[in-house]
Amino acid sequence: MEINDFIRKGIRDLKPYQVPGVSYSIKLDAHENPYPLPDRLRAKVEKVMANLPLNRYPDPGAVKLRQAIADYTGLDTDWITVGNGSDELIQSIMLAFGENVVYPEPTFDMYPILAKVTGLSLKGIPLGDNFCLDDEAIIQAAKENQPSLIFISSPNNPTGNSFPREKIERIIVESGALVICDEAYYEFSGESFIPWLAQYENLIILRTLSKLGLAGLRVGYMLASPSIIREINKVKLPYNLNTVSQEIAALVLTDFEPISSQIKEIVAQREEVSQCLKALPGIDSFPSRTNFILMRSNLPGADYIWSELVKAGILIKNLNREGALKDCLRVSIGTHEENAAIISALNRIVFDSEIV
Amino acid sequence: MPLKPRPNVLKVQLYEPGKPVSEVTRELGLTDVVKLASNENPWGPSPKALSALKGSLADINRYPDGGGFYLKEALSAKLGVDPDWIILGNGSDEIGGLLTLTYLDPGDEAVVGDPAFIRYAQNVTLVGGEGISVKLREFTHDLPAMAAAVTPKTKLVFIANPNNPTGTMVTQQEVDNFLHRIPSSVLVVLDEAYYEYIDREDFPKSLEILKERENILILRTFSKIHGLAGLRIGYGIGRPEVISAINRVRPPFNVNSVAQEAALAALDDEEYIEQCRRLNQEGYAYLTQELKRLGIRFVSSVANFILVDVGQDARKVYERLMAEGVIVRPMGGYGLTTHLRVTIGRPEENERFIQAVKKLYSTRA
Ligand SMILES: Cc1ncc(COP(=O)(O)O)c(C=O)c1O
Ligand SMILES: Cc1ncc(COP(=O)(O)O)c(C=O)c1O
Repeated sequence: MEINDFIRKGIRDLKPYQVPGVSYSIKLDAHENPYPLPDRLRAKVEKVMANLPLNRYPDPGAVKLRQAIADYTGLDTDWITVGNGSDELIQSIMLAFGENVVYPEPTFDMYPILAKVTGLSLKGIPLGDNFCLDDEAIIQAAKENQPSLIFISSPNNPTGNSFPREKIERIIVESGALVICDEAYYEFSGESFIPWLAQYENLIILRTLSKLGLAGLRVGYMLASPSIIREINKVKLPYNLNTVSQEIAALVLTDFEPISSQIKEIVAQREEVSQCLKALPGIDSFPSRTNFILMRSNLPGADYIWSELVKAGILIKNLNREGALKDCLRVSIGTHEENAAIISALNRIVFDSEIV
Repeated sequence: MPLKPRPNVLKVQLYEPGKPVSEVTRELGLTDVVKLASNENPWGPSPKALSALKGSLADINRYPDGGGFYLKEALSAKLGVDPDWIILGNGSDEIGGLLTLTYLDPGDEAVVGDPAFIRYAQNVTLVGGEGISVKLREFTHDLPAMAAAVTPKTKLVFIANPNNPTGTMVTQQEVDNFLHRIPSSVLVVLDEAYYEYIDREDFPKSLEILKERENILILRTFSKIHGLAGLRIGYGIGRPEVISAINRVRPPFNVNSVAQEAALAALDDEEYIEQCRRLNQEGYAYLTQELKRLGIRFVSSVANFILVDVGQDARKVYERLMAEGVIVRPMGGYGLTTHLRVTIGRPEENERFIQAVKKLYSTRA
């Protein structure tokens, strides 16, 4: 027997994550904020950084950051915990509450991946036409597989749409499950479920700073009743979030205006890119409440478009696989110049491909 | 009504971290507080790491390199193993947790020392595994007893070398003898968090062992001599089969970009590491000499901390030292109710500790 014969059954079919080995000059594949930290914040950051005791372990309670999140969200600090990206929090929720995971499909890949990692059973419920949420089927699945965790990203990655509040509320009320609303794109959609937290004990909200300009720092946070937060704190690493991330995230949330301006610009750019895509033959795009746009091309096809874009030095995400995402691509909203570059490259690609 | 946590989670005890300086200054109204509680490097990181860190801020809007390409290249060159023998973690602590997720099914066993670094047992419990603890002998991992504790259900053995909280090490000879008795189906974790502090000929050449045996994983960290505990970055070294197995459960962006850049620069500053090692030895010589003078027992250490037997309820001594502005760590959580763990600090910090101890002992007498 060898040690790897003992890899837990559930994870044998998981593949290590691979980064595409291509070179590019424009990166529009990971829904990052394309702008660097605004000068005003940058200056503050540099000042703070000068005196950080990096040889010391971080504050395990993240007191300062949780206070900043409390002010930003209007909740008390004991309703808040922070993670090394939302990824860690998703995994912690699964480790703490376990058993069955239910989610609409397609959605954020990490839900099924982390469910396998933590040894939970999983059930994806297909989205309907135009990626609409099948609340009935989700409730049914949760009832049949108790206890369960329902993960709903709204707006949803990679489809870009958000789901009707009534449907989500119905799921929270009727499923008997712990419902995790992932608001990774909240700042772009403006819709939040925070007002429901006081009312529904089985609701958890996830947020991230990755889309707001701090992806490299890995800061996610979770909002839920203190009794849930307490259990999560038991399973996450005691020193899960590094000092620099805690400090910069706190600083950014306390002086959010410069980031708000960037977000407004990204949302305006999203509408512009969306208009340009509509004008392109051979490409269908879907409405988005996020900082990316999902598109589909049967002809010339997603694989072709993706590799032509790579040749042009532009990296986007190729989602092409059998099923709902057949021939789909996802493009993040970049700076004005980056967006112009991809639109003109797409123009050239579809016209050169002679489908028109 | 919210879901009930899994039974395994209810069994996990919250980790009790060392008190941050800010908390003590706030609670006790002290201004000048010395922290000797978390085995950190009192001298801070290399200046090179600090300047690399500043440079890394330009790109924080981008996700980190999930594969840690440059840092793994640098580690590879330094350690003489290929990059696919290396995995990076959000602290080496994270890798310990990933290991249990990778290899332990509920009911599987992991052998750990008692007392040893408490996080191993916590991670094992969390995934429903059984932690089999084997008492230390003379404050040192009892490898023959650990080998004897291995059963067909055993998947992992954790050996902190040197051990936290005792500061003791096991030798090359002891590890060799031990490994001969361990089936290749059991992964032996050699946690060498304090590796760079060691100055002993008979310390195991773990990288050589790894080249001969497939069932070894070495853990190291940038939290200790490199002075980067605040950034959370550590690494594991193992056979590519083992590393790729753990990579399956590793979240893709587990190590932040700032830590990767700073670690890369820290690794390069060998002179600084050498200097910190020497200063640590001087601190050790001073502290042990003073403790001997005071007739206070301690365990000889090869690391950057000392386990001190205060001969009475250590929690009380801890609190009284804290009132003097010196934070150390009481070891009751490890079952050592009369022991404190004291991290070796800067000379003036070590003196503060000794002064505080003297004061305490003289007022008692
Ligand atoms: C729905 C959703 N949740 C969470 C995340 C990841 O967030 P983080 O970077 O905080 O791990 C993403 C990123 O793509 C996402 O789309
Ligand atoms: C033996 C041992 N391993 C690992 C760690 C944690 O290291 P890291 O900071 O890399 O998670 C410590 C920290 O105290 C330790 O003593």
